[in-house]
Amino acid sequence: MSQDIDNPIKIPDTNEAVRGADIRFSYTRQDATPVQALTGVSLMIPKGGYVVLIGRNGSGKSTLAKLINVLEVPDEGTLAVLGLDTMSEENFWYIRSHCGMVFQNPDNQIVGTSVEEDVAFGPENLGIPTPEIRRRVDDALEYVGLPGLADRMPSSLSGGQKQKLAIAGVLAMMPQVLILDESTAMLDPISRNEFLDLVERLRLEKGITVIHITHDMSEAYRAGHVFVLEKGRIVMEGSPSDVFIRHEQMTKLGLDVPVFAGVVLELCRQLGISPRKEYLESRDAALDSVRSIFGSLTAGQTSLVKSEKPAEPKIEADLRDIVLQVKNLSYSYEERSPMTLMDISFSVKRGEVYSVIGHSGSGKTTLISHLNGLIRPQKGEVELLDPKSGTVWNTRKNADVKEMRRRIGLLFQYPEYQLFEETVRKDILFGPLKMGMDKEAAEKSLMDAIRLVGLDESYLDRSPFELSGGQKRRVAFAGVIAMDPEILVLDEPAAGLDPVGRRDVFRYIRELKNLGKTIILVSHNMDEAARISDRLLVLSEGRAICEASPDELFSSREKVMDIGLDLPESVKFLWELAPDFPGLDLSVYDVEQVAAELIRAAGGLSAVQDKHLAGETDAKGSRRGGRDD
Amino acid sequence: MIKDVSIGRYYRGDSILHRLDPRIKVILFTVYMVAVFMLTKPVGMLLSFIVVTALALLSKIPLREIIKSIRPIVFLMIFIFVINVLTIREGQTIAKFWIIEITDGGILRAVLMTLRLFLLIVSTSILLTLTTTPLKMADALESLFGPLKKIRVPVHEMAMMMSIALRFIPTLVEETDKIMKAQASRGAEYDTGNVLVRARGYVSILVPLFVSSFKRAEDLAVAMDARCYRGGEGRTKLHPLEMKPSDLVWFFILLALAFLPLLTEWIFAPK
Amino acid sequence: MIRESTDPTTIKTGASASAKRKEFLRTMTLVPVFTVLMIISARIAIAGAPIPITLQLPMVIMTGLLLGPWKGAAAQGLYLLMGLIGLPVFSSGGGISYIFQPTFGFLLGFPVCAFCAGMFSGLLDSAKSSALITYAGIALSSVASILVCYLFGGGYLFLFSHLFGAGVMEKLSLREVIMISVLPFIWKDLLMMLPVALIAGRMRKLRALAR
Repeated sequence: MSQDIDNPIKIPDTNEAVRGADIRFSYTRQDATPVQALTGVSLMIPKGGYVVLIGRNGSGKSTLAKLINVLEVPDEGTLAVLGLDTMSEENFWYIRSHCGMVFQNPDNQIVGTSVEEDVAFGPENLGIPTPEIRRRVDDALEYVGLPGLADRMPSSLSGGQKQKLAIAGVLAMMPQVLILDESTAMLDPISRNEFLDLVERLRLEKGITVIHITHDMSEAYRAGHVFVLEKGRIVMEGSPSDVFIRHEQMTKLGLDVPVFAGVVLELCRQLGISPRKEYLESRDAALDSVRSIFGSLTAGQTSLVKSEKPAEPKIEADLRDIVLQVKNLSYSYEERSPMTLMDISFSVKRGEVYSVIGHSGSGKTTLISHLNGLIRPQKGEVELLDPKSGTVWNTRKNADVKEMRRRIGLLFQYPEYQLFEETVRKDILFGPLKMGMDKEAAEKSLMDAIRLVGLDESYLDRSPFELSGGQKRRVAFAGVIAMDPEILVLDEPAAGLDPVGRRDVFRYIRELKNLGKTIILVSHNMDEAARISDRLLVLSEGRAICEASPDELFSSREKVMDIGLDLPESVKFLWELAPDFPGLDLSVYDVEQVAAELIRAAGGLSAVQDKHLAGETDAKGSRRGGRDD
Repeated sequence: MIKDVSIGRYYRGDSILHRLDPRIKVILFTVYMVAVFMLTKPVGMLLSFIVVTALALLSKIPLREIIKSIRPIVFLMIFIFVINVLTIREGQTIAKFWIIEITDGGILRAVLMTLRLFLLIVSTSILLTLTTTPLKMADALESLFGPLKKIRVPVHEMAMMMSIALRFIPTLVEETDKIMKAQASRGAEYDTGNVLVRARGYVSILVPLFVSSFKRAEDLAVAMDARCYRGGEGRTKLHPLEMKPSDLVWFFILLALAFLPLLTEWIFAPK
Repeated sequence: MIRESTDPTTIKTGASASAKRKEFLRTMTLVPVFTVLMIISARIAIAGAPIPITLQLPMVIMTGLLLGPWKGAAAQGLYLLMGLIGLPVFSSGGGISYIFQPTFGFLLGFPVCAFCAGMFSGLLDSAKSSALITYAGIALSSVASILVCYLFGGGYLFLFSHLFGAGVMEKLSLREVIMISVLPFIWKDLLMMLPVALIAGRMRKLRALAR
């Protein structure tokens, strides 16, 4: 701490922001297991560049970020930031004060009790004179678009605003390098885009080098260069198209490709042609490549094959049975404050996946808290129905609430925090036993639940606190599934997980549906909601503005525009191609289905292959799409 | 609402007392406490009451807000009044019942004591809690106790920790609420069932709360490290405390007002 | 320093300055976060009880057990300070007037109580100590801490009534002190140790998270 920030050190003239050679780093976790976080990383990031680091949880991305900001020092190898060796004590403060970091959870990085105090925190630590701090704070808030909020309490800001505040706090320190450590993971799509646009502006206008860690593959396209990490090593690097063209390897690594790239790759696979890198250079390039693949086809040849899309088996018989009914529900947290929910009515049928869609702050969480009586309605009713016996339970009646909580399992966002018992077994059994299940039935239910979420018995006697984030999520899931509820309410069940984790979550949901459970899914991810839901309820500022099946909703462009809704990526992609493909069915959401639909609209596989690809057709790679996922 | 804790009972306003250097207010706070405590005679009390009324007018805080600040101690005032009435036996007996004896002297003393507590609370609230934000108070304490740093009292650290605590109150309150809801959905009970069931209900809140608190503390430590925090040394401030000449003038005026009632008490004291 | 940091990432760098800074920052954040937990626990009142019962005392003891004596006492000290300067953090408000509450002594006892509980926290660290020792240690620390708390609570009332008696109340006898400040409350505090006992088994794991 004796080190002086103003200590004159020689700043080398270099255009490299980061250069690392064979960096190795290990640490010991709290439960005493050693972790080899980095096992030989070499990389170079130029000044003013934008690079993305992707990789699964635990691949070493965040550790690398910490090393760049000298929050840790490598065990072996060398790492120079802004041309200065991070191992040398005297460079320490210079590097750190010129590298800003924005972390994942906005609530855990804000220090100040007011917005301006928080922005000032960094400059204050650097010992900047007061008038200069004032100027920097005002400039930074202006720049990120939060002027006028200077006196507000940070806790009153939205998630997106909090992350912008974090940027402002970094900006006030005049950084040369900005590190985003999964900073967008907890934001909804709109705030996420705003945030990343701001970052891009910083890079262009202020020449700040951006190092961006993410799970979201589509964000990789904002970067000029992508590093893929796996087990503490860089396994792939290059431009986004260099990386995503090797989609098979990406899948093997448990990663994904962005939707538009996925469509093009799948299309090539189904047509049996080998994809070219240029196809994946950008979203526009992908659109053009689709047009050019089908280029020589004329409109006249379309609609030869009828759409045969609906692949999802629906439990028609049960669909008439309403199990949950919400009538004219209104709610406001405090008297005279704006309504959180306004006159919401809907009913959920047995066996369906019913999704509630809306941005943060639209009232989703308040709505689902009503469903099992955690919040009692101020106006309106919430009723659970048993169609067989005709029994009706109402959350207004205390006696009914207990029964409703047994029949309706509710899992909030980031449910891993709810684990508290000594062992995983005890934790999963907590709910079932509380709900009055006898020991034997609860044990059986436990085994079914862990099988469903893919945990084996060896986990049962471990402490939940020792598990990784993804495993904790599974345990929390199992804890609710084991209660054997008829209806499951899931609030953003895949939030914050890496691609494999997300896929797993949606696999459980499908399985639960097959078991005859009714599922109410809350989400702001349109792609996933569209893929899995039978019906969608769109919530905006506390009002239910639309209820429809995904097909109804997304087949009409006008309707969606009216609602001001965000679209699934797949639908957006198809919409842009629609003028070139008359008769295109827009309501397909799986990459494979999208590719198949394009081929169908173009006249069918054989027509396309005969006409356009006569020379290079390879029979073994071309099969009809639309198979099971 | 518990979320309001972090702004304390601060009443947003723009008055001489609001603008006064918080260090002066902290000193005056102590002075008024001692001065009011030394009052013993009705005449001093009366004068003190007038001074407090003047303070209230000076602060431009509505009466309603001032009354609110007394509300939590109403019970205490009644308690002290009753205890004194019952235990002090001076002057003439007014009523006697079993072992209870009420005297006029006792009632007078009880009224004076209750009034003294009232004046104490109102004057200190107006001087400090109603007109000063908690953050300013922390700054003032840090500055006033600054010299103690020499004998290694962690003055800056305490002020910084207080500011972090204020920052985290709304976050952790929200977190607690979320955990309580999640566990209630799993059947945890807090208000029903026998003692063991309830205790288990509380455990289901406390353990996750601890786990998440540790995580938050750890994250925040890293975030502060990344933003170059290294203790109070060499640190500057966005809002440094600045003593203006007018602050000193007001300091002496308010100081005089604090001792005025005491002086009159000595002057009018029967020989 | 009470405990050497066992985080090898800090030791390995060889730079003791870095390890020290991390330990310092951890203290700077852990202490206020536990002060906030204390504020929250003062507001979690158990419905239906004749007198207000809150989670304060179990939280005091757990602060000590989880943070150790010094940090535990610091968290409680900060709590006290925040309440006295007027933030409504005590169970029925805050402010300097609290020193006239007959129960203020209990609040004064909190930092000492957390310190006492913290003295036993070392037991939780050594892997050798058996479950029995852990439980006995926690039980002992809880009871000792409660006693400390009552010593302060009763002692304060007694001293206050004698030293400043003429100020707000008359002198109280020791018997009266016990009647007023100990008997009405001690049963509920003993009862409130139940959550602590139930967490005991997990205490070591939780404590590991504190580092």
